[in-house]
Amino acid sequence: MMDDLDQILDECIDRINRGDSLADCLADYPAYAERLEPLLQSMRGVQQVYGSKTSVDTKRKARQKFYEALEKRRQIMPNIAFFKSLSRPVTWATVAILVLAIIGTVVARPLFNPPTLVLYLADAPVDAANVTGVYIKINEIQYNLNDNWETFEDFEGPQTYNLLELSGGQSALLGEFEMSAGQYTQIRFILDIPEQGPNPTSPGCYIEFADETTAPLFVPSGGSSGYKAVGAFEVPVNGTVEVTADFDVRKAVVETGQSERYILKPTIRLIVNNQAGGISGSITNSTDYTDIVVYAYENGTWSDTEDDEPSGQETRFPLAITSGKMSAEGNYTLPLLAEGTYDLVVAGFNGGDFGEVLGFVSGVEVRSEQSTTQHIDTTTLETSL
Amino acid sequence: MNLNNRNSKSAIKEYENRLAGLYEEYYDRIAHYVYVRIGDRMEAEDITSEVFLKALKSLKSYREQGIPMQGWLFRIAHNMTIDHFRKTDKRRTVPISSELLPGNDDPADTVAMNIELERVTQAMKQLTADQREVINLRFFGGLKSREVGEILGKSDGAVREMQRAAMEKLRGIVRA
Repeated sequence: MMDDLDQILDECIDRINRGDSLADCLADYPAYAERLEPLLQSMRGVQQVYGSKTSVDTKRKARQKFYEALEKRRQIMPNIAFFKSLSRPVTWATVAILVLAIIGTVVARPLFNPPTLVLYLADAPVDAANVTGVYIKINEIQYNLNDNWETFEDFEGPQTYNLLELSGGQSALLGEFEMSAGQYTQIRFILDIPEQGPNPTSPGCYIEFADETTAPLFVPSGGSSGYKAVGAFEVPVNGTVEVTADFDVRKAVVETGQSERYILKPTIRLIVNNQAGGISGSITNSTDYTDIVVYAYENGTWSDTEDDEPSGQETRFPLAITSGKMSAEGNYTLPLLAEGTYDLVVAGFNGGDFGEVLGFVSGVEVRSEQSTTQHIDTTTLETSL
Repeated sequence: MNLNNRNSKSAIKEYENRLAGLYEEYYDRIAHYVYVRIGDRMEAEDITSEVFLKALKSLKSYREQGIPMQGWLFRIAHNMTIDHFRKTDKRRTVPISSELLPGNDDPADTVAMNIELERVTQAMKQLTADQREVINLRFFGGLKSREVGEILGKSDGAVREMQRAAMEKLRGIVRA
């Protein structure tokens, strides 16, 4: 009986260490709950009293020291092994050449390459012609590690970005952040954006119209100012990974019907730059539409309801991965696409007002780090997918 | 993996990568573990930094078959705290300065936290040295009983028994 208690108590401690609640543990062992509870309460008490966070600054310095030592070790070890392997006398000239070579190597290479994330911000264009800017003010950027949100201390917030300037392959560097090597799937942007209440006098996030008026952006009802970006990336042990957060503001900004407010509800993608490809080409527009927008869909995900009039806080073309607007020169770009097969949907707009789907281009292949050229002629599009 | 059984250079490189991979998660845990043992948070973080540097220098002596790498790190940390005690000629197992406590802007909170700290300190002193070590490695190091047993040279069952006995002593004195 005591052995059982020891075992169950042990399991509960492991579970609490992993983040389970005390109540959940007790619920799973009702026969032992009365004895377990005071013991586990004492664990929580000890942890709370001694609980303190490590200093971010001290930890950063310690991490740097560690990686410097690791890098020095990796550079020196092969050289020592080489000297040890010499079985015959070497001349001073040989030694001198080796010393010069080693110095050259050390000078030419950085001393260490700590695990680093280089983070960019990008966007897909809006299809409303009367919108000239979508500004967001980022106060803080966080990453998720072991179910905890940690802040990138090196991000110098607040910073304001006009997302519309970051479409068509443009991007803004948010920073280079040293972090623990490993696999990550989420980043969170903490924006200067109100959740409720009256219009702020000086909004951090706002939309700008062609007539130079502006309207503040709000968090959706029940939401928060922390916006998650989702997508897997790996920070290497001794190197750098470049990742782009794609806001896709076309889908992110929605006008609410009743209160006539604009809310920001983005689905932000994280894309590893060297795994992404793109599609680009020219558009020959033989229609009367003033604007042509090309939407990229993962192969087979288009349905005929995609271009229906959106209801509530929905957007048209909701399943599109990204979109590109025809430029004044008659070109379009669909950047930051994962390797795969895509169907293109070509739509005509007049001054931001949706006209119709003009047709389709099916089965466009995208490869990592390559831009697929796909020219579009509105007279020769496929009529269905 | 054993250095005797495979190319030692590639094994060392693998150990280096693994140690780097453990850094972020175990830095905090080891800092906590050392803090509880020596009672000085800043000193604890300095020691933690040295633990990883020492581990890096000593990778050649590491044998996975003997103990998992995270357990080995705690063993180094344990030895370094003993060195620390030798050097400073004093032994504390809990923080005693209110300035070390987090979130103590309100003087009333600080007083209350100090009282609670003193109570827990007294409770911890009633434990044997092994029991304190088990509690520290389990509650703050986040190690499993098997890993604690490997560090202390005891069986899983013995660790679980010491753990329960320690918690029985703390029960009623410490509460969440």
